[in-house]
Amino acid sequence: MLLKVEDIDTYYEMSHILQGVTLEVADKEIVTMVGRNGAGKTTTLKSILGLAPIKNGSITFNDTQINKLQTHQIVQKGIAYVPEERRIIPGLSVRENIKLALLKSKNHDREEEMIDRVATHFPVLKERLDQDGTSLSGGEQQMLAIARALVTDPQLMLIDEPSEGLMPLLVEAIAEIVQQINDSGVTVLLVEQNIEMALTISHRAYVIDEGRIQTSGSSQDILADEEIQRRYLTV
Amino acid sequence: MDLSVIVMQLFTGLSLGMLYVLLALGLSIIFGLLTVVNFAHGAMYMWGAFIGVFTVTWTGSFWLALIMAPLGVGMYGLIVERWLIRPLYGRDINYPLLLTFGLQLIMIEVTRIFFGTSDHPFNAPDILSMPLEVMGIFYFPAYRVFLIIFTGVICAVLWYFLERTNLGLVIRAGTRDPLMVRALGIDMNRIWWLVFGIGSALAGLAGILAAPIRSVYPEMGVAMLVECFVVTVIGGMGSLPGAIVAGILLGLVSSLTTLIYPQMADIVIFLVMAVVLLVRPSGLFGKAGLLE
Repeated sequence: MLLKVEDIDTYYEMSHILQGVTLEVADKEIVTMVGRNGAGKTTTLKSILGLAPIKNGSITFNDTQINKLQTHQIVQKGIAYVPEERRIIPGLSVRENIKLALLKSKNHDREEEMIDRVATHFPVLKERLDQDGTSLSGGEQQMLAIARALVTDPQLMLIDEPSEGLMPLLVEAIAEIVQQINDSGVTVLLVEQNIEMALTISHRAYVIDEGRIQTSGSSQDILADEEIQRRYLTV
Repeated sequence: MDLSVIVMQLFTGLSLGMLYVLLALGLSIIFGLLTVVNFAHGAMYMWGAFIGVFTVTWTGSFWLALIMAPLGVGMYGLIVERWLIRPLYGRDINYPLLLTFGLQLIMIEVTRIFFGTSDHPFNAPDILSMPLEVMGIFYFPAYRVFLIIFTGVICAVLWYFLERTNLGLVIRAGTRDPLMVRALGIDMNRIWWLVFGIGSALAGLAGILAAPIRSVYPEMGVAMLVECFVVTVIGGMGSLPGAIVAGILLGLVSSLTTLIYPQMADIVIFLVMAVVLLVRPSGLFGKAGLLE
């Protein structure tokens, strides 16, 4: 297993958000976590990254325990993060956003090459290299957020709500890109509100509700199971 | 009133403004990145001046003092951040504020114990002591010309550092979204540490530069700190262009007031602050909601 999350508990202030979450991601998989708003999806990703430190349990990546490390150390081990709402850094150009991601990665001295690679996935970003990253459209910002993760050649990408606020055509485009990234050998842990999209492109899925994994299985089975949809996924 | 008197006074104001600029830049870069309001900044400025006095007494070299003051105070800043301020991150913004306020009192007291409470004379090097003739009409003290040019160079170097180097990129990014910067694999603790050191070094540099034109004594940083808070508030907390513009502006306003109506000299900067805050509550270049 590339990533193993075992029985973790995470708190925000006094509230117990994750209550014994366990999940696994194998090399080269796309695994998705689906569930309602506030179910604990984003918190799980933040726990893996050390942004929301866990109280109990353990997280291992490539058989190394990472839950006692600091966020930057975890990221440097080969985990890249595409956060909810993109978090493009204001005041920085598109190029600077990419450069920032490269600084501590193994590709730090290959800026031009990496920008060319970004251009093959997202030609529009290359045209806007000197523009302020936050001046891009929502879809372009999502591309930049993905590009920022991609240029570090991660083993695992944690992607949080990539389709949020995008129009249907762009949602499809993003889904395609996530699949392409996976085809190129990157393992993906995807969190999505758009259940259909997430279950269509992923291999396996975990259904999370009230801070606990309720069920898991192949994405096709979960997509077909109306009972699961009704109990955990409809609003 | 004679034109040359006004020009002289503007010029004096500009050199005072440059001291404000250096101090406010240090305060602002620390606040912008760490959200720490450094109340020890004035005492660091004072230590810069004392390190200057010390170095010149021992070696006779002003130029060496110009290096030793920022270096010494900068290293002191690194120690302060690492051992005193870092344990307070994640707590309320008032914790580091109280800590640095107490630190300032200790620093002043320690200086009193070792160097007494009286003024320490400090002369500019001979080469900068003669008046400089400008356009055949005005005579400006060469040291003040040096101070203005030197501070201008420091601002340019700082601008280059922030806009054109990798570390500068990280600092700019960390000012806006430190969490995301960490999630891109960068150790923000190290950056905060370095920036606190850089900000402290700027205070030390301002101290040695001020020494030849202002008196050197343990409380010299107290009033200066208040004035520099006014500068950063007018310029916008955390804004570096704001620190430069507001620093020069206040230097000029304060000198001109001294010339025209000296009774107002001590309070005019607070009036300017009140007016600016009424019109733009987050300062001239400030971003709203930095503390929210």
